[in-house]
Amino acid sequence: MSRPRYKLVVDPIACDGAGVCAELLPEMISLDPWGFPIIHGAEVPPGLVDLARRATVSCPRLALTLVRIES
Amino acid sequence: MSAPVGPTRLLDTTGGPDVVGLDAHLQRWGPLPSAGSKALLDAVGRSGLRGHGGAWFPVGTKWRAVAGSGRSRPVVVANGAEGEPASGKDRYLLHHSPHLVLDGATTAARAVGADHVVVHLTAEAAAGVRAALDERARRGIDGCSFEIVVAPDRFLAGQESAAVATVNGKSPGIPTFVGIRTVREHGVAGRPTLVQNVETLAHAALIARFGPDWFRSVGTAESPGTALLTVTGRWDAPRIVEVPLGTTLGQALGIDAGTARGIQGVLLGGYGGGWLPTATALAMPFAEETARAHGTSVGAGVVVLLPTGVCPLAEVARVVRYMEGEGAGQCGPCVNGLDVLATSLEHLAYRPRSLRGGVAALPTLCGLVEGRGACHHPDGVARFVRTAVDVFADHAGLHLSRGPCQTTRPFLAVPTTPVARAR
Amino acid sequence: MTTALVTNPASAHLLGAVGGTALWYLTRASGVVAIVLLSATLILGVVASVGWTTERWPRFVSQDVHRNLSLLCIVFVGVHVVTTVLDGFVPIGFVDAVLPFRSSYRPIYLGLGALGFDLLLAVLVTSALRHRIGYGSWRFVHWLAYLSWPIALIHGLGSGTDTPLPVVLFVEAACTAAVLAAFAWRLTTGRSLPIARRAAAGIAAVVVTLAIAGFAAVGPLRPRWSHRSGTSAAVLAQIAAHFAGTTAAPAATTPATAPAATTPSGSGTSSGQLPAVPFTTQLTGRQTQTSPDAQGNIQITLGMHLQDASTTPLTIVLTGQESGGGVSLSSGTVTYGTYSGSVIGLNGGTVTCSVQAPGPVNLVVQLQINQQSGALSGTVTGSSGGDR
Repeated sequence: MSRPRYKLVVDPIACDGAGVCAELLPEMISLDPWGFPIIHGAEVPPGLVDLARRATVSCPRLALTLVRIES
Repeated sequence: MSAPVGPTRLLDTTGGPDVVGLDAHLQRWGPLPSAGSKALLDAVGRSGLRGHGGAWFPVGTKWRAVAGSGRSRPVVVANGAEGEPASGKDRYLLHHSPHLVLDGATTAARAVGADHVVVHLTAEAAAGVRAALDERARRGIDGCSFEIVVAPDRFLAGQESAAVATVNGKSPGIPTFVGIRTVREHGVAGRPTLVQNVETLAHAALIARFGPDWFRSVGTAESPGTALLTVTGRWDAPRIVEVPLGTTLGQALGIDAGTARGIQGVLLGGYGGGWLPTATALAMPFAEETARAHGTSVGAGVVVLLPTGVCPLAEVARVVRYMEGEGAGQCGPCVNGLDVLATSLEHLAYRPRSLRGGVAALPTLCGLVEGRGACHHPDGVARFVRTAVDVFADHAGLHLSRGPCQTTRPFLAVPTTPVARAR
Repeated sequence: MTTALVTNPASAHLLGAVGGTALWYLTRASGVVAIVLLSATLILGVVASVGWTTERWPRFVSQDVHRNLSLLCIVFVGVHVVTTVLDGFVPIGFVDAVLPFRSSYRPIYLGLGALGFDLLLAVLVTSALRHRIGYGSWRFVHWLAYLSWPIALIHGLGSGTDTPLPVVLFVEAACTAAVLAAFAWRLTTGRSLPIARRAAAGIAAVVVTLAIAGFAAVGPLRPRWSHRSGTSAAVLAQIAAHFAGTTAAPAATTPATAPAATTPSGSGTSSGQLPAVPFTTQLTGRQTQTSPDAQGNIQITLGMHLQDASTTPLTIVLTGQESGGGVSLSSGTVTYGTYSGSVIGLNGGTVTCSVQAPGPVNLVVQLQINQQSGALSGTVTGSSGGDR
């Protein structure tokens, strides 16, 4: 039995560049020159999953989703 | 009725009429064999057919995914809404041989368990397809219902999720976010949806008749069969040709060393594709896998031979500005990034001294838009620009050292679409 | 039962706000705190929505404070509702707290409170289910949250016991100013909304503010508000009838079992004694009330007879400033024959008195009032005054 793996997915249509996600998860998210998030890393490290979930909940546009990676 | 043995399959015109009517069609190809879903999925899977709309995704895999989604009855969208200005092969195929496409659509419907087919096409193709559907309805040869939906006149109209949006009647021609739920699971009317390019469907119609082994007798192992190309710059006017995949463009288009000297560079895959040096492009086996290895894509089969005497940087700038205007305007990185990219390319083409950061700034800007849109529009533009910067590096150097070209002429087709006019 | 009695608006009017109970204080205080929290929530919501941020105040802080303040606000509104219902001073059930405009007591202003409560609940539920219902639906409902603010304010002004208190007025004015400023900020920075819609919202905000200020000036801040605040016409008519009864002869239709006792009986009519303590006995009687005088003072008289104790009347007179639909008790007297004492407590339909008869006796009178006739019935329990 293996631990579930996750990735972060941005809905770029919904995203309006509020930047809350980068405030809450600077380990994985930086902002481009226009304030839109750039996700670093294909997979959320296990230690960051809770913080990543927190970031998805705090997105004002519900544009960030934590998606389970099917293996 | 016999399987074509040569490199000409879809454009086989034994008898030679401009439009192949139902009688001529049945005479040439015979009726569709009544195979079941399992047999069709198996045949298409084994044929190795890939999507000719531009993504070159394995068709068998896609059909299986739609057939197995199981929630509700799937819908098939035969997609002939080519928005790419440098492509005309889908329109030509629908005009010339609509019944081959419609056979392919019913084949796909039978394979995935759909009972409804939407033919999504450009306004100019609608009348011919409607006539073909009437012919078929009179004979009662199809086991599913058909519907024609005319796509809006814009670049993104043929994009998969944009096509579904058009068919669903909401924001026509505007892509949606499919990162969580794809149109295969949730497409037309919320049903599992197979969106397949019309040329791909025409190939499938022949696979249903002559089998996967016949299909694989031409082409490469990874990309079997033939492909329709829209070739610009070889003859006076753009021309649609059918070539076996894996042959070189030099061979297929009959270009000798002398003709090649008049070509500055070759664009494969259209405005979302990429540039290659002439020698590379002509010698490369024409197939998606080799194009990818060279940093481009054969896309929807667009081939543009850029003649000398045309400023390639001015052409690139015009195309990128057009592509910027054709964006759906939904995703921040694409909206902002393509505008900066177009402006930078306009500087390089017409005011090289205003270009901040030099040519090296362009790939960096490309990196800021790649993979960051809901659709692949920004990715295609980025590839177009990255490859142009490589292939026309010397020309760019001349612009920076000696100033822009004094004389040039527009060569690439850059339409003023209703979208661009409205802006 | 206390709560049974107060479902009758007439009784509520009769047994007005003595202001002696913890629940009633809690109701009033939690209402005031809730509007302050609602204002703060709204302002933080604007800060988050506008995207204002500094090095030391990231945007998620605005969001989190907004959310936590809103939850705190809901808690206080919950306390406000529960204490209002349980206290029983005003005839409001839990259903009235959710379904607006059906209460017979100040239907409009209590109804607005219920409406505002519903809006807050809708915002709470949609926010909790944000990820399920999608951004569009959530945002639509969240826009309605703006509406809950003026609704809550009018509710507070129109039904609040403490409206005329300077400190309450000051708090409400400060909240209004802050919310208006925040709203203006939101409208001037709102990127997504068309200018015409923002202008309309701005004009609407100014109009609503002026309307509320005007309403407060001519309504709750003037005397006799409780008579004009929409308490049902039947109740008001009944009050008028009783007022007529105190100046003219008792109505001929007065039930025999409830003899009129519109004024305290004269002394010496009876040498009746209270039963020996402790005792509990039934009583019947009648209530009357005067109209407010120029200062808004009213007097409520409860004329009663103990069922098994001769004809000696037990009379309780409650006097005070009319307020919040009842009386804010300034004094209360009780007489039983020749004995007299004072009212020491009032909670809904229960009046507690202390009488020298001749030794100290505590009387607890529990009353039910017939709204149509004004007839009283209930029990009186006597205990030794040394008990408490």
